[in-house]
Amino acid sequence: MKNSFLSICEKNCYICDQSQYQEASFTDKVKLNIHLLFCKSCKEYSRKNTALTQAIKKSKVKCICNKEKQKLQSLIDTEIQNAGSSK
Amino acid sequence: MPLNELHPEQWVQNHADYLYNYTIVRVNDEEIAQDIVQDTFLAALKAIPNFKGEAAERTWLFSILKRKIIDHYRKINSNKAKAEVRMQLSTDDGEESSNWIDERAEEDGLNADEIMENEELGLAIQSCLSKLPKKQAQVFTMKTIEGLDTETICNELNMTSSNLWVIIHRARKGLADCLQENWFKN
Repeated sequence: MKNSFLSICEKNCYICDQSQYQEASFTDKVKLNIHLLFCKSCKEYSRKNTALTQAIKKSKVKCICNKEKQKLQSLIDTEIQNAGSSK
Repeated sequence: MPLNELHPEQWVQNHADYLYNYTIVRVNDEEIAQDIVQDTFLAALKAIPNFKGEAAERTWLFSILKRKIIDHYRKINSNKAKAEVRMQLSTDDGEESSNWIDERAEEDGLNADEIMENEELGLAIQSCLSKLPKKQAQVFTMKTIEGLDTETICNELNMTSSNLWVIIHRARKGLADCLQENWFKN
């Protein structure tokens, strides 16, 4: 019994994550909202999760995309090798 | 206190995004910011023998980055020969003058305090991100910050979508807790 309870919460957490990326279906969102009415821990998670999304949006945090990072890494690797071989 | 060590082979993974975010709010151009981060790493590689191990790796890289940003402004200022854009850098620690902050504030419709706060928040998010396990940080960054499709990420990293959501969930949980601790509390 306890297991099935856990998995309901877990499922809803995933729906909550997906809804942060606008990727949750309508029925899922309805289910989530009903669940949030009586589940304190999921409600807390949902609150934190939304705050996280807002914080990221507000901070306009950016990143170097993966391809550029790989280029940068290989540049550094060659530099390290060059330094090593010149010693 | 034990001396700190440098791990140049992990610099990109561990510090690139953090340094990049610090730079981008200062130069306002993604390409230039990327170049400056690259220059910083290259200069740091050359300076490895001078590293005494007193500062943490990131702090040390950071001090080089700050120099590089100042150099960048020196360069464009001399190129344009006192151009219309007057970026004044104060003499001691490279902090921008209030002038510049106010100018930028008008652009965004935010006041200087809000801009500063958002920037600090960005850095807090970055440092929380770098505390996550690497896989989680990578998937979370691709999904949330690069804004890639679930499908694209799954193809690139060779994982199933349910796998991806599990990782995203752990990452979000870790990040939320870390931010709660380091940001929302204050």
